[in-house]
Amino acid sequence: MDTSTDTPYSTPINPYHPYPTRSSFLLGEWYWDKGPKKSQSSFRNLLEIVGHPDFRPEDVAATNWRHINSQLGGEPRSDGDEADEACWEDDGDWVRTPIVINVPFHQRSLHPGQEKFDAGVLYHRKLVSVIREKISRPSSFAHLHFEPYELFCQTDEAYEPVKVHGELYSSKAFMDAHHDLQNSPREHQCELPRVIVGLMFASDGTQLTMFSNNKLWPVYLAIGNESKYRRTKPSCQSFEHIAYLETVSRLFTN
Amino acid sequence: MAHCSREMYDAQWDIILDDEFIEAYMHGMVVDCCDAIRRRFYPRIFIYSADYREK
Repeated sequence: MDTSTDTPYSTPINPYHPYPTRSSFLLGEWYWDKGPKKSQSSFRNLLEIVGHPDFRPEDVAATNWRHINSQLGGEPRSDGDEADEACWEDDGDWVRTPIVINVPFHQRSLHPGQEKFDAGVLYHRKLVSVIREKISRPSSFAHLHFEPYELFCQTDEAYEPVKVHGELYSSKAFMDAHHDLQNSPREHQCELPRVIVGLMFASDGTQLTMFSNNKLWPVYLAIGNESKYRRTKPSCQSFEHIAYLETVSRLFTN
Repeated sequence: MAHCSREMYDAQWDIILDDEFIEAYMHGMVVDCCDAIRRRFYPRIFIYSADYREK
């Protein structure tokens, strides 16, 4: 790499993007590398950077660090970088559905009442096909419990058995749902065994990068017919991603 | 703003819990299982565990 040309626009593609110059890149890398805590050795690294003959203080003095860090954090590039959009496209059974919300306008505004507002796009999967795939997948099928049961523990014959609470498929809620289903009228001319699929949804904000406040709200789905000892094992990959929720604040900042 | 957040949230769950899901919830979904038995599955939501996103 040619290190002598340290001007921002000497080449059409800036190899240090989003940093404008080599000097600013070195400083930025020093700042983010090895986490927020700085050590003696990282201080020596800093001295090497600013002590190098190629280092130009005037380059880094004028650098907009806040802007660079927000770019590192994944905000879209101002030069219309479409690469991010493209890599979402070929992603299996994920679909995009436009979100429309009602926004109220108060009595004294120009057009009072409710207005439909186009609130972006929800990136999600079709719930039924996720469940169908999960049930019919050979690797998970063998571990699914279709019939609920009650689990008791009796340590001594002198004591009454104690109910053990642990799995969704041995819970009262699952048992009740199962019995309600078996007692309900059957579908017309259908004699197939009827089974409850216990859906468990979870969602939590996930910080994406150290560089910015960019967050994602994934919605996860696990199936309660599977034991918690499998569900909680990352290697079993039992949690399905269902959607990435959009937020209003993201909408207004964009 | 709080109202919009709630609207946004509800609108997105409205998309996730689509007509196809409601149909499966009401009438079941037939799946040919790996043990060569055809079953009718009824999805039921037991747990929803999330932070309070309306805010």
